[in-house]
Amino acid sequence: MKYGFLLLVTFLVVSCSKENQYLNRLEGDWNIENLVRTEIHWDGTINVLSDETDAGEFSMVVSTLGDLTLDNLLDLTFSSVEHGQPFSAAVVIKVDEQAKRVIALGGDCIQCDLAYTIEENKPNRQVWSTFSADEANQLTYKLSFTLKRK
Amino acid sequence: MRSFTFSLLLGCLLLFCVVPISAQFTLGVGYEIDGFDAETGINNFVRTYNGYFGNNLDEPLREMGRFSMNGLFGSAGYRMTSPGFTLGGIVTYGNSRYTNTSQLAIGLGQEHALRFNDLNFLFSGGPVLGKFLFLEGVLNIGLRHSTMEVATLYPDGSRSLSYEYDINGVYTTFTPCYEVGGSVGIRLGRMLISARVTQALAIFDGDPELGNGTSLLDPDTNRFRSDEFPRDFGKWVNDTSNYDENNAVFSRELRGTRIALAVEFFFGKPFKD
Repeated sequence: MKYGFLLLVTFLVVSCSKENQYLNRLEGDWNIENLVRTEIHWDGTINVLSDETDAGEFSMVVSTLGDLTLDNLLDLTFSSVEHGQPFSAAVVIKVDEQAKRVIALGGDCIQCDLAYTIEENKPNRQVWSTFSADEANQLTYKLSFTLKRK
Repeated sequence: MRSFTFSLLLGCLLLFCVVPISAQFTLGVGYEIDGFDAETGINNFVRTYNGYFGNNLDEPLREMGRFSMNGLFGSAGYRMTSPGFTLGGIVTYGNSRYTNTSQLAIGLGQEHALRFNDLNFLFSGGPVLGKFLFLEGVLNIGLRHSTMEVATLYPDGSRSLSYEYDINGVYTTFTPCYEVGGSVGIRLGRMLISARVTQALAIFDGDPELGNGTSLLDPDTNRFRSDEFPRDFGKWVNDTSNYDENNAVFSRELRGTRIALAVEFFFGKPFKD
């Protein structure tokens, strides 16, 4: 009885979750309108390392495994032109329950996932940022993508 | 308290079998203070966090009070009345929140935002005195979804939930709240203004499996360290392989006394006076 009740609640929560709504929103093709790399020094100094516009494209589709559709995962393909040569890379992403982070999965490797904080979430515009700390130099690197739906 | 409430509700149900009633649909809004046991869980984290950083904190985290969480709710329900008695069933949905920040001397800050989303099914009943004063016993079955968002704050205004620090995350848990209490209301025409106090019951607290409920957990991490929101921050920092499975805040600690002020508007056929 107790488990049936919990099952019902879980079903209700999952079926209308922010996670699913956000995954649906992400499906499709996006331009990387802006790609910014920043050094944030903890004393307050900000150093912009690079600021690229039209830095490539993201294409996101629902993941599959053989005949199975994995509704909670998306295959993200990044494509761009680097040094005159076309370049592409693929990664599987998921979204947390509250749709606050996009997580690029690192496969079987533990502690290899990369989380992007969703800084802006609109149907046609997304801003994602990820951070990495350099404690020895008391600074944090920030990589920020501004995406615009094609 | 519990037996009094059940007796009151049962008595009202029996009375409605033998006396004429009228029933009305209600819509309402209200303000709610969601008391919970901050001391053993969240405040233990706060004390150990402040203790761990010690003099390296410019601004420590503040300890939460038992009634720090508050917010608004909306309600819809159905109320039956007969001369001298009332019985109601309403559904409420609302949320309450509390944001806590700390600042390290090196320039980084941290934000801890606790939010309760509450879906409540309230059943109430009791006498109506002098045609306008409602005294009711209340039984509430509540579903509380709690979220603790921990973010690192940078001097440029950036707010990170990413993995550069393990404590960053979105921790969630679910708490069933079985509550009893009472309410006092004054009817003014088609409006009922009421104050309600309910207390969560410790129904499963003695159960070794269900006693603690579920932990406040960030399920979207992939690491050796525990993905639960720690009760003791210092222990958690040093426990890099998750040996201590009980160093977590549990859903049992996120419920308590609830105080609500509500306004309900009645639609449909007026009361029989």
